[in-house]
Amino acid sequence: MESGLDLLRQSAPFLLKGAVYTVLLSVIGMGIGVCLGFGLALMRLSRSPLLRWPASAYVSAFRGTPLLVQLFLIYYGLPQFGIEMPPLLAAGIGFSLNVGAYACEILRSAIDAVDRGQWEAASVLGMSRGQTLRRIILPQAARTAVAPLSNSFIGLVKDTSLAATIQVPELFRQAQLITARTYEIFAMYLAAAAIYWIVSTVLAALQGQLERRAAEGRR
Amino acid sequence: MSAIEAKGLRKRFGDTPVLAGVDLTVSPGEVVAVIGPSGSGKSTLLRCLAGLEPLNGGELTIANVTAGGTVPLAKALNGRVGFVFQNFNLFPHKTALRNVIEGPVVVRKADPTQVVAQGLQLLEKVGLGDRANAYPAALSGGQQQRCAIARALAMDPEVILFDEPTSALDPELVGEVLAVIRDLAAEKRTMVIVTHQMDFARDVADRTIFMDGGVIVEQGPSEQLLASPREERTRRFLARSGVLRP
Repeated sequence: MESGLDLLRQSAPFLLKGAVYTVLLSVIGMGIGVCLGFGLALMRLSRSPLLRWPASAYVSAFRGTPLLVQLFLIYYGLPQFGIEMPPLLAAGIGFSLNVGAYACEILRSAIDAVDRGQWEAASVLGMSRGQTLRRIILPQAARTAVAPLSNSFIGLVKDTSLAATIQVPELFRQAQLITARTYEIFAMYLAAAAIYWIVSTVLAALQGQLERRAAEGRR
Repeated sequence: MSAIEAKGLRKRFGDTPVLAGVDLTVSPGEVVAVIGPSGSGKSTLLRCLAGLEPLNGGELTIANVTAGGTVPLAKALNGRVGFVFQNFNLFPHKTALRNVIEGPVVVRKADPTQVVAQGLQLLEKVGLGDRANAYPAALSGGQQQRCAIARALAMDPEVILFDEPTSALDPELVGEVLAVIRDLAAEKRTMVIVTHQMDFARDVADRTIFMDGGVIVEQGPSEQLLASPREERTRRFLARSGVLRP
C-alpha cells in the first residue's frame, strides 16, 4: 500500500497537468464551437438556399463522421498539403468544428421551437427580422438550448480523451505515459477516470444551476 | 380618406382559396365586427390586413400604406396597425410593462423615461396598473389579453385589429376584456373585430360583416344584420349560433 500511495503522489502532478489540458480543450472547443454553431444555425434558418445548403452540408459531414477520424485528418492528413500544426491547435480546431455541427442543430431547433406567434407579435409592432431575433426569439431559444448544450459540453469533456491519439498531453495521455513507465495500469486509468468524473459532475451541477436561472421569471 | 380600403382581396393556402375576392372599406372611427363560421376566412382577412399573410391578389390600403410595395406591408406599417391575437402572444421573458414599451423603444426609438410613464398609464387604463412588473405567466388569461391590448395601444395605432380576442379565455374572464374594447370604441378608435360574441358585436360594432366561403355574404348596421338578415346563409348561421330563432 505504501508504494501505491507513493505512486499516486508522484503521478498526481502529471495527471493534474493533463486535467488542465482537458479542461482547456473542452472550454475552447465549446466556446468556439457554440459561436460557429450559432452562425450555422442562422444560415440554416435563412430564406436563401445559398446560405442554407452549405450549413446543412457542414452539419451532415461533421455529425456523420467519427470525431477520431476528423482529428486524424487534421493532424496527420493536412501536413500532406503543407498544413502542419502543433497537436494542441489541431485538437482545438477539431473539437471546435465538431461541436459547431451539434451546436448548430441544438440552436436551430431551439429557435424553431419558439412559437410562431412571437414572430407575428413582433412583426405587427413593426420590428425587423433582426430585432425580433435578437430581442424576442433568442432569449427564449437560449432557455431551451441550455440543457442540450450542457449535455454536449459534458460529452466533449470526455471526448477530449481522443486528443491523446494526436499527441496532446491531456489527462488520458498522461495516464498512458505513466502506465508505460510503472505498469500500474488499473490504478492509473482508474485515477484518470475519477478525474473525468469529477470534472463532469462539477459541470453537471453548473448545468442544473444554469437551468434554474433560465427558468426564472416564467412558470 | 378611409382607414381601410380593400378591393378584391384574394388569398390561397396551397390550392385552397381562403379569400375569394373581399371588398372592405372602413372609415376612421368606425367599429366593424366580422362574424362567420370557422373556416370562412375571417381570421385570414384580418391577418392579411395586418401584413401577417402576403396577399395573392387585390388592392389594399390601410393606415395610408398601400400593400405590394418593395417593403413588406407589416414593416411599412411600422406598428400603425395594432393587432390583438387570440392567444395574446405576449413576450414571456418580459414583464407586462416591458411588453408594452417594447414597440415604442425598439421601433420608434422613443425616449425610455417618457415611454415608461406612457406604458404605466396604458396599463392603468386596461386595469393592470398594479401588475406592471409581473411576467405574463403570472397573469390570468384576461389580464394577459388586456396587457396585449395595452401593447397595441402603445404604438398609437390608426387601426386596431382583434382576432377573436376572447376565444381563448375562460368564460368568467371574457367580460373584463370586452369592457376594455368597449372603452376603446367609446373613444372612437377605428377597430375591426373578428368575434363569436354576437351580443358584443351588436352593442359595440357600428357595422357587422358576415363572411362565409371566403367572401363577404352580407353586411349592415349590427342591430339590423343580427336581427333581420337578408341572406339565407346569414340567417342559418345566426340560427345555429342561437341569435335567431330557427
